[in-house]
Amino acid sequence: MQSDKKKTGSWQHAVRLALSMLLVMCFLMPMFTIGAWKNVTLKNGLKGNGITMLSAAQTIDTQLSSIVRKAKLNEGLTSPVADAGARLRVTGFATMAGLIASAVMFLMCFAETLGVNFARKRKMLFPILAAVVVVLMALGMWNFMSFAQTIRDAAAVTDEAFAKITNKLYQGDAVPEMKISVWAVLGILGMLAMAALQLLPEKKGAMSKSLLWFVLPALTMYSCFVIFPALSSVYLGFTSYDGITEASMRFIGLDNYKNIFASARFHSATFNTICIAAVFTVFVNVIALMLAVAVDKVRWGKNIFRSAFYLPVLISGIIAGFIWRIMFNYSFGVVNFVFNMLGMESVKFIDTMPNALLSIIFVLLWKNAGYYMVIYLAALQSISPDLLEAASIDGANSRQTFFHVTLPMLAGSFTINLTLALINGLKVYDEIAILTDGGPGFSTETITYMIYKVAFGEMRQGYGTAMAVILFFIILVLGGVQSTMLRKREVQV
Amino acid sequence: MKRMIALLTALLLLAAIPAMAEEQVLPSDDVTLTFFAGNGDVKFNEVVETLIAGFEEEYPMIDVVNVTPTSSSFSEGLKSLDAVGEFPDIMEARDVPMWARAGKIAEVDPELLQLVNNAPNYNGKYYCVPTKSDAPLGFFYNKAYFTEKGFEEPKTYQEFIDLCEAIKADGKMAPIVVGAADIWHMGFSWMTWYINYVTHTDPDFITHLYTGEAKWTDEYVVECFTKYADIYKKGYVEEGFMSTSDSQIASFLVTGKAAMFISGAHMVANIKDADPSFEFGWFPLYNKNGELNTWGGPSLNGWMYSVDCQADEDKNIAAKLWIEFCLREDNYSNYLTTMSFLPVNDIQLDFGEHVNDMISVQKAADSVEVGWNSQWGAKEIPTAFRNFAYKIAQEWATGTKTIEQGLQEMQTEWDVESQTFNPVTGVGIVTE
Repeated sequence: MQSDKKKTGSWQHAVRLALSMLLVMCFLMPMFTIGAWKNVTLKNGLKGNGITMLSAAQTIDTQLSSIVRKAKLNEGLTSPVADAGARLRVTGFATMAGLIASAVMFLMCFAETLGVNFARKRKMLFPILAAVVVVLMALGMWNFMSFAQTIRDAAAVTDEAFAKITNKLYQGDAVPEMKISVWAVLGILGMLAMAALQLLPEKKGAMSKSLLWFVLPALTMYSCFVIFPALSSVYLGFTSYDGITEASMRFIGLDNYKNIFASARFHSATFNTICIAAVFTVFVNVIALMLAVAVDKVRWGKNIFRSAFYLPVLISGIIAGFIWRIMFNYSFGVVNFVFNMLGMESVKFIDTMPNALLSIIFVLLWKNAGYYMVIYLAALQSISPDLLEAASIDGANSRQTFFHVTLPMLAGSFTINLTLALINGLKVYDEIAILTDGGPGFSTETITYMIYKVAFGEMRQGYGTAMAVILFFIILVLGGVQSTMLRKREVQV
Repeated sequence: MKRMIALLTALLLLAAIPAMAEEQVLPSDDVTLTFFAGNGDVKFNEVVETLIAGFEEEYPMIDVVNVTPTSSSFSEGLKSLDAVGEFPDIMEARDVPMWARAGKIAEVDPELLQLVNNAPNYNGKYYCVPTKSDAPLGFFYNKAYFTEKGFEEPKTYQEFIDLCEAIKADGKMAPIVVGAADIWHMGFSWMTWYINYVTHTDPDFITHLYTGEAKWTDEYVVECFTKYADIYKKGYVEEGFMSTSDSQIASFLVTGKAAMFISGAHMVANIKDADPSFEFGWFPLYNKNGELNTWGGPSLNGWMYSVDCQADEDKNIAAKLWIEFCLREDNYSNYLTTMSFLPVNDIQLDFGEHVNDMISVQKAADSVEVGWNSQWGAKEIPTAFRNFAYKIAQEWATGTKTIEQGLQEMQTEWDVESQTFNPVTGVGIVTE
């Protein structure tokens, strides 16, 4: 308890709290006006915050029956229009609740600067509050976007009739749009950072938490140029955006996700992605380890072998694809030419399944094995000769030495190589693009390749972004599981 | 004396007229135009390079930079450039309705439309200066081999199947070669069967798909693509078709590896390039009733320029000069004869035996239709659907999917895409 007081009183803690407060304030300000109506000036003192949104919802509800009756709405629109007021009301409540939750966090931070310690309860309170605010914000945004889309769709088909109601809310004929403030995003990131700080282990806490501030400059830049753009693009996954036409950016809720999960093409791409990643990860490591051991043991020409095995790594995936596409050509390819010379039948390497998928994996192994070999080689050469000598003196043969001394000492390299291979296997693109163009048909498409084809080739940016979000979660889960398993193994070793 | 003065004045005025007419508006400063065109066809690339070189020589103050990527399709390449903020200044016109809706391409100068007859418009506006009218699709064949074996040009679909069977039985070469490694190449065969069996039965098939009155799984559609896939299933197509590109099919024909291939009139020049002495013939594909429904006519293909290009005074002038240059008689005749495209103005050209045959066939056809992916209005297909359909065609060809599975997937895909793009209901269409 005494040490806690010391920590609270330390300058690092004061800085942390001050910064936390700043971040929460960043969030508080936009939270007050979250759901602000871009492009339009609201009437009657409406500011777009929680309270006034509830008021606007009331206006919509009172006008609704006459609008639905008078306007010639088609079936698809009648129901969303009937829900418009309710959606806006949910947004209003969510905004208000989020505002209260973030205000509590703000007060807690402020109280800490005055020396009040929330002791143990504080540990989970911050993360819980942060989660509550994020969920409420998402709920509010979701409903506001649905509401705004309804207004847009209805305004497009009902002209004057629907304009009557929108004119009660704001001036002009623009349609409401969600305004997502940079401050709100910074605020959320700040909140999550604070929550993460609370969850750090107590023992190493003081050291780890203070070290985190060294990461902050890099994290800030990374957030600005990677995390924020990535998060802001998630919204596209809920729209029908074609990537070039503003008007195509209609909010369609979860339709993209529903269509993706119902798509046989996506199922095939998912299977191929997992299949390539799994086979590549296993085989590239086996081959790389064998090459590394061979190169390490070889008595002459060590550098020549090392360079030869590493050479394909220096070639870009596109070039490697072209080389093998020409070599695998059924009619003119050198591989079939050699087969024919040996009296064998020509093989359709990239023309049929599963040959096409196997050919892609083969090219990936050929191109990448050298890269992983170098990592294993470095680890092999860092094993102390004393250990090997001791094993030898103890009477271990070469097989026993390899499996009981060398291999355990490579555990760290295994973790790195397996993680890298898994991630690289999940995002294969170049070789597929050139070797098969995802074909025959869609049979060798992976999720990454499909994302590009859908977003850029087929002009469905929203659909492609939704797939990218799914891929993100797949990588997150697989990477997390693999990392946890391998880390346990390292500890055991 | 007065008469003399009047005569002299008139002569001077007459002499001045050509000089006035020839006076050209040129850019006020050096200007760079970024250029983009499809790069699938070797001959087309050559024609484009020749045009650019000639244009830069004639207008040294204009630098044309070809930004066409080498490894992506037309739409992917253009979209990628747009995504990185490098949308080109002048482009080969394709997907005109889509780019017009996106506000990326400008309405062309009305003066340029005087250079062609009957320019097609989109929603009453002219976004492209057309440069070609398509000749029909059909089969190019090895004439010497046909003569040697006594094979005749088929006049019905059954005769065509019998011909394929006979060539296969002969065993000397594959009946047909297909360059399926290029996805767009699948369009030649797709279009031929589709026009003969689907739109022949329902000319408004696409519109009816949007309204729900037609389905990809309808009986006549199943019949069409069953016939289409049978060509592959019965072993009439050269085995390595999935690794054969469009640019290789002419060499398959002239080297005796295949007896026929289906493509457009532009292949005349490619075959002559591959072997100038090679004797080849051409025939269209008739349907089961002996009727001929074929591809052709004026479309929204030609040249277009961007809104940003139009906004820049010098670039706008340069872009107009480019289009005028391309449609000038000497350049235009070279472009048309090399590619075997039919003209969109009154230029008189002799295309030679094969293309003249095609023109006669087109005139005598039961129906002539613009390609299914070049339509506009209620017949415009969603952008993504064309390649989706060709990919399914590849899967039929390789036996990965049955006809029913493929058509069911196409219907599902159509339902998904028409949720966000439906020119009949107006969804996804910007109205100004």
